[in-house]
Amino acid sequence: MFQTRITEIPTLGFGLGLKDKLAQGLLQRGPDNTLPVDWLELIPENYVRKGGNAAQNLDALIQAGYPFASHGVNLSLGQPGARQADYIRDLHALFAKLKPVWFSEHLCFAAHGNTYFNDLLPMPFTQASQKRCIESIKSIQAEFEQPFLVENVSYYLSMNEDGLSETQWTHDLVEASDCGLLLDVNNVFVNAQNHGYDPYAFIEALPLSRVVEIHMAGHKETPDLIIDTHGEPVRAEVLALFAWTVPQCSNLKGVLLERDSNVPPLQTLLDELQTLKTAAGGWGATPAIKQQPVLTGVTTH
Amino acid sequence: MSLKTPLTSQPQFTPPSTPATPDALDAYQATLGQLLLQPDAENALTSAEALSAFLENTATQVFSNETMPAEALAQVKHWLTQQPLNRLQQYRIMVRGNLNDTLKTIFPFSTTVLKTQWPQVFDRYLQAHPPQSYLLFECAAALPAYLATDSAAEPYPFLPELANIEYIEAKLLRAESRAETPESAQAPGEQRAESDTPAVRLTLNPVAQGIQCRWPVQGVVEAIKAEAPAAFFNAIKPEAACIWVFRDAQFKCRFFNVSPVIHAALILLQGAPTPVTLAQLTLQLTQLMQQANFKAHPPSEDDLAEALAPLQSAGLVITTLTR
Repeated sequence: MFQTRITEIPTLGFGLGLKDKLAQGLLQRGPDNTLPVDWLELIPENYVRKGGNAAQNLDALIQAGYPFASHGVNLSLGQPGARQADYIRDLHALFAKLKPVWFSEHLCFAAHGNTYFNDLLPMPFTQASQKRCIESIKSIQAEFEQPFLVENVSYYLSMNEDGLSETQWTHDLVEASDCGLLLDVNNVFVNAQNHGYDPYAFIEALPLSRVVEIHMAGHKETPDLIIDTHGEPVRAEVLALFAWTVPQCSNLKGVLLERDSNVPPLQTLLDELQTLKTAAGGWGATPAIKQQPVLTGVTTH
Repeated sequence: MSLKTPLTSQPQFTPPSTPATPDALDAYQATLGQLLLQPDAENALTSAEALSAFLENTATQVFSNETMPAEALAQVKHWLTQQPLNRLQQYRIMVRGNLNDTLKTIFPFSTTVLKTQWPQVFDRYLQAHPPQSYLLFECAAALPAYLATDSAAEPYPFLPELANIEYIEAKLLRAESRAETPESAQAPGEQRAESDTPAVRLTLNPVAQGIQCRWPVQGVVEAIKAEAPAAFFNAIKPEAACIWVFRDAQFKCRFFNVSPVIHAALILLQGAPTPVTLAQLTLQLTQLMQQANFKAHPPSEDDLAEALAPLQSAGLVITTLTR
């Protein structure tokens, strides 16, 4: 069913993760009246139950005509928290005004019982964890009309059992829950370095026809670990992996640059997005959703 | 004050149920959570033996009703003891760092007063109040009251009030403001005749909160900004104050010290279902002060107008022309 639906999802092009400090710059139109980026993705935790400056900026960005996607961190697919219903209610309220083209979550757990860890904690790749994620995804899909994607996370602990590889675990999970895949290319690279595997072979083994979105970000190298910080520019090796990946994702609809810490001026991120566009070799050059032009005059009758 | 979440329909969502008896996955998640959050787990990451002992010990604590099944414990030990300790430590740094950064952002002055004691207070707070919300902001809500119970805060009895004001500021900055304008603020069922003439009426900024303090917290803030020596904070004497915090049109929070009489007037204004005239407010204030046996004389209309003027120009009190 998702495979049928995927063709109906519009191609958004190249987007940016929304940070409040970037909002004013993102509202500045160029000489041809276009906005600086094709689309935006936000983390709902930063906008639910929230007014003030951030809410006003978000309203202005919606009004400007930006298409949006939502990318959550606390749905805790691997272990639903007891208060997950609160989160779902908040998402409904946010989506009513945001009208996201799709929404996504991470393949991990972020809560246990009533306790939230507010981070993306790794799952063992077992049939039990796979089953729990599938149940969670199906529950969530039944709640919302928007297409739902799951993202491969970066992880520093390695727990394989039942003879399942991560790619097989992910492949079977995505097929069984009939959802889309958000492929984080930087996460694949980080994991490949930290756990010693071939990132190209890893991506090749994923169900690439289900990839709707690609995430790109930077990471930090320490003497004994590569850490997925989202606080640095995209590395050349990750860019090369991205360039190789894009042509293989036949249903790709959006590429997003994430920067969550050490956020530079908007122009620096726009330059980095341009680098991604060049590496993508023409993919996404003409987004299907056109941003609404701003009204330049008022007609009275 | 209108800080309520907008009403939405009750969620129908039912999360998938977890097994009645904890399985290895539950056990792993609960145990890893303890390892990342608990202060004493720091020692568990110093050696494989210490980690193993911690896991044995945690097995009797992580589930409220039962001990972790032996099979689940064996699996958890297998999974976690084969991990490099520095990688487990990395998760501990991330999880605790997120919470610590949030608290230090919301309570910049309180954490500055505590200085080197803050890390220990943070540990104890986390143990007493493990995060129960996916919104980090809400995980900070219990800190002001907690500080009244922590021994490290004893030399600074003003700390709970200081932290309370810091939290109120953070809460107002993100508050969802009331959608209606003062002009449309009419109590349900209230009828007004067409013949009513428009009058200047007063209402309160919907994103505002008044606090009665026993300590001069604004003085404390100024002293922190001026980098006053630690001895200064030990010598602070009680000094009652009525402080109003509100969010202005530029989304900045502003603070006003007001007299107890004006504090009472602002409370009346905040509780009024519709904007009131100055004469109505003066009358209500007079009645309240008489009932409450205020020592001060009730202000005249002119005196009240004069006292409210700076609050009106700042935006705490809003003037409107309504019938």
